[in-house]
Amino acid sequence: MGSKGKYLGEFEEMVLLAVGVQDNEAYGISIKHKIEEITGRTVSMGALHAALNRLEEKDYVTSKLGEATKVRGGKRKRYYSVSVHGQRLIAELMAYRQQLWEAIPEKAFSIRWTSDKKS
Amino acid sequence: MEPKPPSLFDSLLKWYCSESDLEDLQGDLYEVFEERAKNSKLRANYFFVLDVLRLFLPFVKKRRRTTWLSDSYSFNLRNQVLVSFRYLRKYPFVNTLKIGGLAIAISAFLYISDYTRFHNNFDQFHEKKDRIYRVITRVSSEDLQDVTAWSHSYLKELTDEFPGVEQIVRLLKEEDLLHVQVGDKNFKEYVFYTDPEFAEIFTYTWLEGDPETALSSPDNVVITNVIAQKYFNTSSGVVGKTITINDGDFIVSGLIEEAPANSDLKFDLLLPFSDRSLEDWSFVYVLLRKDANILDLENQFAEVMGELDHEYSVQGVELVYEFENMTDIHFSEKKLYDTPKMDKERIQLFQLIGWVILLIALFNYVNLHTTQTLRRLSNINVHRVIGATKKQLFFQFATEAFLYLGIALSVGVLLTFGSARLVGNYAGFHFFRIPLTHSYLTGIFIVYLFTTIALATYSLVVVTRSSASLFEIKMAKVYFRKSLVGVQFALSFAMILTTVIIYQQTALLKNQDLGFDWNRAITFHIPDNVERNKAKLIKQEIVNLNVVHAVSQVESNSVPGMDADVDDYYVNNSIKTKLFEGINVDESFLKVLDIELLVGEFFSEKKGHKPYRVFVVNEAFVKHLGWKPQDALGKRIEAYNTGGPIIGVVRNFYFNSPHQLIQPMIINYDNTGGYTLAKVSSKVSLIAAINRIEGVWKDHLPDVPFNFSFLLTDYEEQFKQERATINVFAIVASLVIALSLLGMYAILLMLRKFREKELSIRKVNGASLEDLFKLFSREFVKILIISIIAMIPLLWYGLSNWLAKYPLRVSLSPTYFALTAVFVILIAGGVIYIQAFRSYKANTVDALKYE
Repeated sequence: MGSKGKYLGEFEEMVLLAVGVQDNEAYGISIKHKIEEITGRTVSMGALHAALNRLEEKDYVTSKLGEATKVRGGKRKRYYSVSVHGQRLIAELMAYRQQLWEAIPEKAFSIRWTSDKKS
Repeated sequence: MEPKPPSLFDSLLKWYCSESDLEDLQGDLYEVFEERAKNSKLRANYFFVLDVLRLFLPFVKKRRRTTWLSDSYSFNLRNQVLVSFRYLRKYPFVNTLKIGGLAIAISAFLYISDYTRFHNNFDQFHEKKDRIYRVITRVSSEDLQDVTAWSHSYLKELTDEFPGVEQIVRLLKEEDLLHVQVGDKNFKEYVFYTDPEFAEIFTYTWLEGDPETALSSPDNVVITNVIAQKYFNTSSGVVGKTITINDGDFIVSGLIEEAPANSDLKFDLLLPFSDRSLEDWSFVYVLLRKDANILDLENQFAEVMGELDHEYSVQGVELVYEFENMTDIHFSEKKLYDTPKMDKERIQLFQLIGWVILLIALFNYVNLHTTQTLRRLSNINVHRVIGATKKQLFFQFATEAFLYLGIALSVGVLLTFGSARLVGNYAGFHFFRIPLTHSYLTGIFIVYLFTTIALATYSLVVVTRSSASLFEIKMAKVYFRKSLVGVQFALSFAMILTTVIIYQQTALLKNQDLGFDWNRAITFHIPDNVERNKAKLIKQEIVNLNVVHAVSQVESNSVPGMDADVDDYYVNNSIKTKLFEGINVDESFLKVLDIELLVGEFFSEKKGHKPYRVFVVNEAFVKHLGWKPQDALGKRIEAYNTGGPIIGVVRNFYFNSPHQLIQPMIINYDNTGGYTLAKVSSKVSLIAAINRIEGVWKDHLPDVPFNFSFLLTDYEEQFKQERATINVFAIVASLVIALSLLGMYAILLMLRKFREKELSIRKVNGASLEDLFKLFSREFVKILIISIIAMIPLLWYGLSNWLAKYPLRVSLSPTYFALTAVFVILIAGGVIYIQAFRSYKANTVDALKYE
């Protein structure tokens, strides 16, 4: 597959995965928190929303507005979920990575990774 | 209370973010904000601002991608124009009032701004205008303070003495019309004498000839294109031709374009200063060096001239030289022998009135417009329910405003140019003589666009806000508007009163007893090059015609309406001279002008009086020296190396004009003057008498055209400006009244519409027309009275300031105020009555059957 249209940036991929993790409950802030929690780096609101918009344009995520609540100044949340397209893309990407990872000879890396790397 | 993020940045976000993105993005930011605010409000604010700024770049791009142009529903010009015209047609009456009122105000504004622009741009066409200064001379002594627009002609020779001066050029207007002969055609022209360096200071457009050398030879003459057309029927190729001026041949050496209408230095022919024409005093213009300072120049003048004027200071006369910038001359204080002036305050007042009229009209427009907008509120709300965005409504409103204002503007412009001649005749001012500049037109266009946008925004606010609590908001606005109607009526009051007072003041001046009578008096000038004996002969022959009451020979300064000479005299054996105004006349002067002699006698050849050996003074002179008229007789006056006793005192008369105070004056005996004053006897017809006088003239001076004027015409000329002002004020006052009535009408209409049901129920319950009238007028009476009362002190102050300029003035009687106030209130009552009547006649069912 690997055609140009399917290309995802590193950050976009991270966002896509985070949306997947929080299936149906993912919205701006929660995604931001998730990424920050896992990577430890600060995610800017602009970059995040830009990425979400791009993903939606490419049809990897879908979104719908939730109900208005008292918090957030009465503004509705936009909940994201990974579309079928997106799910397929993640699966493909993971498969490529896995293949490449496995193909690395053990001597080439001086660092020893986790135990499942060996298996 | 929940903490709120900074509203400014919240709006910024709303502004740049596209609608589809806005809600969740804003929600996210709020959520983070709320979380952070739990710890520190300041920190939360800080990060909120930071985030909004950071989000700007990624999201402002998205905003652009979905502009209104791509959305077919939101911008359909054709439909919007169609809808606009439908609304125009639906309410023809109100729309005519609304747009017509504005059009008339625009027209008035165009007139007024043309008038003020004309005066504000006097002599502004000289490129070096900021460096051109006119030297004026302030003469002061114990007895007289005067300032002349002239200065010493010899200043020209001192050019190098003043380091700050680059060039000096003198200008002198020949007092008399000169006789010009071109081929076999004869003309009479006013000429100016000047120096060869003329073109170095003044910027005129030279069509032909070399500006640098054109005036270098004494037999050169520079003419304007208008004159060239008149003389040669062509406005090119005239350099080198010869014309005869007063028997001397002159070669045309330059052709310049005539100065714009708004110039105080208007001339037809320009001659070089020659010995013959060189007078002691003339207009002196200096061109300041670029790096020099006018204050330094004043000091240099004081230094250099202090020595030269030594002989004056010995006699107690102080001469102070002042500098008037070219651009200020038109508005400066009126001096002796000065060019025409304009009152700066008058122009500023007009400017203010122009803007006020425009604002009142716009305000009325908005009022009527609001009523209309609220009328179609249901229509608009339906639009909104089916998904019209604010943007779409805005563009609808903007299209309407653009069209309606455009119609008002075009009608206003057409009206103005269509009526320019008529209004010009009435106001005594030739409108639209000066070309409209680009900046002026751009200015109008910017105001037009700005008003369009403001109006559309306002309509949008009215429509979107009023959905909440319709009635309250509407009423609040009505009360706000009512106070502004008060302002309008206060202005009407002010305008009417001002017109009345100016009218009264002018009438007072005009009908003032001048102390002499110049009905049926004519004046003509016998050229300087004619022998004086001949003048006497002509006088005698005119007397013999038996058609005149009396004939008098006077000097040029002694014709009523002219500026009298100012000279130094030794009075009553004083050591120092004193400066007094003086006129030089012969023995028939009193008889011609019917001036009353208080004591003593007047000049008489028979009694052996010799010229400049006897003097007559006026009452003011006697009073100035603290004498009684009787005491003055026999006191000595010395002047011109001669002297003699005062033999008579005459009653005060306004020599110049009743605009000024009567100055102490010395009347010199002189029977060689070149001007003749003749009073036609009341028994013969004026025309017959003048024809016979002309016959005498022709006998003696066959080559010189007979050129006379009525003293009265010259005098009336002085009141031309006043009369024009009164006429303009009258027009403007009626306009302001009409606009105020329109404004009141708009408010009443609004009230009637909002309270339609209430009024109907009142009627059903038996309210009479009188009750309705009371109901309506209650809304206005208080505000009207308050605003008029508030206006009174302001008006009082302004008018008494204006009147203070006149030594002779009307008193500001409270009657004027009271009558004007009653008049304004009566007019207002009329409009209220009409509305009450219409409300009374309206069918109650129409208002009530709705549900």
